[in-house]
Amino acid sequence: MSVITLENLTKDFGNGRGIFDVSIAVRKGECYGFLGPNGAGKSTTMRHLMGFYQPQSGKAMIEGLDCWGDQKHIQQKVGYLPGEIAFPEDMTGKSYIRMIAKMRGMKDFSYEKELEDFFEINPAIELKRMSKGMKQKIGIILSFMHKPEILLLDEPSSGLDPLMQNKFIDLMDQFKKAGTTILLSSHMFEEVERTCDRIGIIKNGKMIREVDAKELRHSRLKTFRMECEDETDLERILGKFPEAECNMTTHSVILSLPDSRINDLIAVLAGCKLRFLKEEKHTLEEYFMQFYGGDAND
Amino acid sequence: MISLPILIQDIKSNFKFWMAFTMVLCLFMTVMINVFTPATIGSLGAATNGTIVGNLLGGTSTLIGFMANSFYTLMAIIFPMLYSIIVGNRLVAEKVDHGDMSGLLSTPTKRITIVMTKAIYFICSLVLMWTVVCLLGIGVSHIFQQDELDLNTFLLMNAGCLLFHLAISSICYAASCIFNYSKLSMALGGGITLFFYVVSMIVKLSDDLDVLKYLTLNTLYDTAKIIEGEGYGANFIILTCIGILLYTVGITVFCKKDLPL
Ligand SMILES: Nc1ncnc2c1ncn2[C@@H]1O[C@H](COP(=O)(O)OP(=O)(O)OP(=O)(O)O)[C@@H](O)[C@H]1O
Ligand SMILES: [Mg+2]
Repeated sequence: MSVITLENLTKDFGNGRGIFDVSIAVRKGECYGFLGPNGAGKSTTMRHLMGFYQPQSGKAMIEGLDCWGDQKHIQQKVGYLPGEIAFPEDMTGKSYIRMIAKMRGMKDFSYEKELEDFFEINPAIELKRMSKGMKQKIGIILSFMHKPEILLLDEPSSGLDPLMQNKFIDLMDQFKKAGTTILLSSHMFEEVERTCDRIGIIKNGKMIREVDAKELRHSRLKTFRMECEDETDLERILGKFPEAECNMTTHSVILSLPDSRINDLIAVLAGCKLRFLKEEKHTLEEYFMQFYGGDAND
Repeated sequence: MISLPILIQDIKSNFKFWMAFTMVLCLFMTVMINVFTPATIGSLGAATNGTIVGNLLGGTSTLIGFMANSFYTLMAIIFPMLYSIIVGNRLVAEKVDHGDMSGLLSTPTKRITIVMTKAIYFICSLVLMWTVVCLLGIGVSHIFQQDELDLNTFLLMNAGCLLFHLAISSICYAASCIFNYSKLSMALGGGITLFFYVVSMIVKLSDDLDVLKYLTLNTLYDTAKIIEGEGYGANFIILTCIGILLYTVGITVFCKKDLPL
């Protein structure tokens, strides 16, 4: 049985905005990535799962309980990190954590303390005075401190510096190992690719496709940019990879290839004199175009 | 049905408003009781007879009459009203608008528990405010106006004022529960209650404008009837019913609506 279930979930805000006919089933212990550009409907879906929105049609369920109406039971097992974190302005982080813990009926604060140390944050200052990243850390502590069985994370690493992003991924790994079911939304391909088992791609409120992360990891084209010293090198590369885009004046090459051909590239480059070589990061949009062609803009 | 942590947070976060408005009321109560002297009011009454000021002041030869026409038509109406407008909005709408309501709803607490707790805070804070003001009034008149105060009428006057403000607070609370935007909740809650106040002032200016009294809730807090000692019962009951009704409406709407958190 799936832990998180969406059945034809629809919420129309008018003007083509909202979510339409979204169906997902996340199994126990699975980490599901919800990937989509800004305004795609990721947060709207999360809000249905939190019981903030009533579905227009369709259903959102967690462990078989209806998310609209059975909140009290569902929230006992869920940790939620909102996409747009907001805290009461007139409290310190510490007193807010205490208050939420009390509302959860939590008695043992040892794990909460551990998380504070792990993220190197001292919550004993006013929430109003905290930086974006500090607020995000408090949000993470609030959603993880009761060791929930289910995590709903809406763009969890926004505002964290790269070091903390890595720490956060470590933390998610720990929870995954403990069998936690995770639904994670993001517009960053790398983040989802690194942590999730399955990825659902949503755009303009519609699910475009669901893919296995492993499959994606290997099938995906990577794009490299390089610059050579000599023109002969350019020709050598073109000989092996006719699809490469070369610029004869700057001697630069842009080349996209699947992982399966990476060794061919290295073999060719071994004989070349390069000025530099780097992998180009793609925007989500470009990834969509790569995989699904015009599909992504439907 | 109530959540202690939420109640405590509401008390803490609204304490400065409660304190400020209670102190202002206490201050005016003390000053007005002190100002009263049967003789000066008598001559003032004669001088202003038939004028607009006379209409506004009318029947001020006793302490309670004087208070009814000064403190209980002006300060006792406007200050708690402002408290209700500000705090009513802060309790719910501002938390939805700002987004920190999502933190409360992420815990295993039902929506109804959250809004019930906040309603209870709101009601109790007003009851406490009037208890303090009323006790102070009794104390101060005992010191400065010995034997001038008709205690029964004074208690009724305050009870009526409290019921009136509970009805006002119910308007602000319902607005706060209905709207997701702080400014809309303020506009409706504040707009309606201040409109009532302004109309009630206009009604006092001339008998020709008497029909307007049906447009304002303030009519139901009729100090003259309380002093007469009869005919106020129905008003008290209507005020209570309005309060119960609007609190219920607010709570029900909040439990059923979409929250853009
Ligand atoms: N309460 C609402 N009323 C009207 N429109 C809304 C409401 N909530 C969301 N929308 C619209 O629905 C669409 C999806 O919004 P949503 O917040 O779910 O996007 P998202 O995928 O989370 O985007 P982001 O990556 O920017 O967080 C947007 O076009 C948004 O304007
Ligand atoms: Mg979002």
